[in-house]
Amino acid sequence: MKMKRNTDLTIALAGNPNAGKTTVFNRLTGSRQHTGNWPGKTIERKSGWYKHAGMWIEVVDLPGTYSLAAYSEEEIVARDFLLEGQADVVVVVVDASNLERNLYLVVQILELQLPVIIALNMTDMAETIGFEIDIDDLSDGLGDVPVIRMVAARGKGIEELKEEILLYTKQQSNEDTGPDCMTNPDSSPAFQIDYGLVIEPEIENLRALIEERFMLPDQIKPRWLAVKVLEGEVDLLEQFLGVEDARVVLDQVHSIQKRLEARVPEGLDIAIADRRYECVGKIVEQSLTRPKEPARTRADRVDRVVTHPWLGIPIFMMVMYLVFSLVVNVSEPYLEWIDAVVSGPITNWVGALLTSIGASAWLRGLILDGAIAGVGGVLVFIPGLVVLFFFIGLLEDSGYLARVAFVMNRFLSFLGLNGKSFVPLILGFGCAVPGIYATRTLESRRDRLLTALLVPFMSCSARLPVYVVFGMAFFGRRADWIIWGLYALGIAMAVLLGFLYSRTLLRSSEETSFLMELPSYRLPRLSNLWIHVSLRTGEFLRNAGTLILAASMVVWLLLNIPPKASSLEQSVFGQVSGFVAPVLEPAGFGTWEASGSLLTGMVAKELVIATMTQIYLDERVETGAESEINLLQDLIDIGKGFIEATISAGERLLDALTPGVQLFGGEGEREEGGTALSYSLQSAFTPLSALAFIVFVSLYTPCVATLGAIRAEFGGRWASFSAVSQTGMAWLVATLVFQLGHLLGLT
Amino acid sequence: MVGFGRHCRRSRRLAELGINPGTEITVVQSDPGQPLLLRVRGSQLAVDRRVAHQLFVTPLEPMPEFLHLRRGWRRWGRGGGPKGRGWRSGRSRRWRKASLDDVEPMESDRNEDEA
Repeated sequence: MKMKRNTDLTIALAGNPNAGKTTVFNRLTGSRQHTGNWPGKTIERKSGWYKHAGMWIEVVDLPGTYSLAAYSEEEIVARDFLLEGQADVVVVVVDASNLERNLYLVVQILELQLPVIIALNMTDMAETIGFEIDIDDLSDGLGDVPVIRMVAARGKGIEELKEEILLYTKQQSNEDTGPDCMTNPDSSPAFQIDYGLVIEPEIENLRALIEERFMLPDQIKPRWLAVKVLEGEVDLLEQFLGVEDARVVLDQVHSIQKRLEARVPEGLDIAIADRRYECVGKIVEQSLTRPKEPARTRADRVDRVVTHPWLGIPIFMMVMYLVFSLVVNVSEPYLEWIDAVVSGPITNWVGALLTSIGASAWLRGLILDGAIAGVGGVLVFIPGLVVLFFFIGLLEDSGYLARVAFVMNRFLSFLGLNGKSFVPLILGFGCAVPGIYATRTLESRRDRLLTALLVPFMSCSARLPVYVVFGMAFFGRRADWIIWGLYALGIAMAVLLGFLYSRTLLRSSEETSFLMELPSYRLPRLSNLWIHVSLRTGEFLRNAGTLILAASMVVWLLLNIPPKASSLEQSVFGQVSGFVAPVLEPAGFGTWEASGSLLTGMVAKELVIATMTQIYLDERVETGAESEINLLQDLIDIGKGFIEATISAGERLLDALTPGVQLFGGEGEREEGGTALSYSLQSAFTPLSALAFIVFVSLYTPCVATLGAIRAEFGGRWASFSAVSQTGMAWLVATLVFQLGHLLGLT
Repeated sequence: MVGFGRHCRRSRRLAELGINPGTEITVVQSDPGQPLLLRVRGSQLAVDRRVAHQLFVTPLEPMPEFLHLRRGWRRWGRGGGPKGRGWRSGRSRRWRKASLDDVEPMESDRNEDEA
């Protein structure tokens, strides 16, 4: 987003998932980025900058990995970045409370002979569980690697890390220019693991072969490559040696594997990992004093409950119900307030401004009825979304989501998926796009594809406005339940289709296995949650300011072409929508207005409401009568409205938190709620057709952005499959709802 | 932990997560139908039964824990497999040991009671 600066130094941040890498990244660069508690959340390469002592330093945040092996795409990304030698220094973030496992990765990076600084993070948590870590011993054990204690979440140790990075580069430049110091990289005692009597000679053989016969890039050490290849990562050979040369080495590798088969029955890869752990074990023994009894009983007790085979899922359902009723309850009062502000003062101000510059009626219409009405109709949902994003962030960061994945494994295995797929699905409630990208954490392509096809069934935050508006207009007090039901419907459809797909289109060739770390519980920090919320909300706003704005104006234009049309239905937009409408007739909303909104909603779900605002609240005459502008009075009204909305939201929040108890007995109050749009809708839909309509909205084609993500990940064929199948499904279910309701005598 | 079953496709991954021959594994939780929750080298791992079935272990705890072996030994004698599912006879006999998903969880609560 910023201009590319001259970088003096590039550092890479590596580390296990959940080691707090992203927090360190945020602290270093101050850049806004989300930190989650899900193993392997950061997938894209993210980089940031900071200035220290006059130097611009680029920080690249690598995906969290357990090792440098190539299992998932994230690990390949991390491995290759390190291999390319782009980083001047690698800062490995280590979770001090989980030292042993974390050091396994450190050791592997050290084997690459890269310059490493260790950021020993979460030392506070390590202390709580009784770990005492001697950082000098740790540093010694790893071959004099600098180790810095930090608590990144509180910003402790960040300055020290910056200093150390600086110090390191100074050392290096001294070495480069120092006259009498002819440093030879080989002379310094490099970190090396002894792989034992059996394997070591073979490594040496292979190393010699590679070194003699092939030219490797500077940063790749032959010994390292030899070890890697023996571990089974033969793809590296082709990467560095070319296909033909690789074959020579490969033959050698095969013969070694044969030779050692009897002596290393568990397999070379496991033996090598084992030796590394042995090495790590020694270092840990030196530097770490731990209490005899693991002190995790409290977390264990929480786990007993939330991962209970029977209680786990009801608990999760309750949590989700609470979250969504909070979202709905908090958003309603603000919704009315923002709606009042946008349609009242802001429209008046802009109208006055336009009149004063002598704008034509046509331009006034475009801006007031097109842009402001459309974007305003979407902006009203910001408060609700802030709440939704806040809670999704909370679930993620606290570590609870991983537990839910654990509980859900049973059900997902029914669909031929495993618990890991659950996280992309849950992210889909926020927005399907990150959900689809999150499928990259899954190992097999088939799992990823199936999960990505199901993600759009999770009602995303952009569909929520439609539910809320319709819920308020038609279902009054029962709106909560209707909305909850729509979410449940999406989930049910996902289960149904997952079941179908996994037995037809995407039959799994091999059974997936579930293997996941359950991170320890963490108190989510407000600053992290804030970053999460502001990022997502910012995206929504940007969307509103660009895509929605443009689309609203296009819709307005289409609604007003030809200009002399007697009614909106005669416009181009009306004609096109009217053409589609009969298809939707059986579902009960075969009007051109409804189908028009749905058509624009294919671009982005927010547009459903934006379009409806334009169509139903069409006040095309109203040119002359300009209400008098009283800036001060308007501002006071806005402020007053905000305070009232806040109080009302607070009351509802308390009501939602105490189910069954109506503290602020708002029965009548709620019926009154509703924006101008709600009232117009009441005359255009019956409750039954409204229900069918929102059911359709909840299921029909993913928006353009989501389809784009599916296309990027799996190809256009699957994207169109997703669009077509979901729309068909939506039509089917909506028709079913309407016709059944009709038969039952509902209206 | 003693070794991996021959059909364990995930053995390398497991080894990298710290489960290799010789490692102490604590079964934190083992509820029917759910994955196992293990504590390995200080971290908690969720492992489903298919994988756990391919991990062969010897119980380390003194006699009381040893007796918590649910079916392993008995069924061995009868030639059946634990739960009779996912089991092919002879596949892992050479280990002569229990598969991990036969071991009862060692609940911290229970330890406290005994202490």
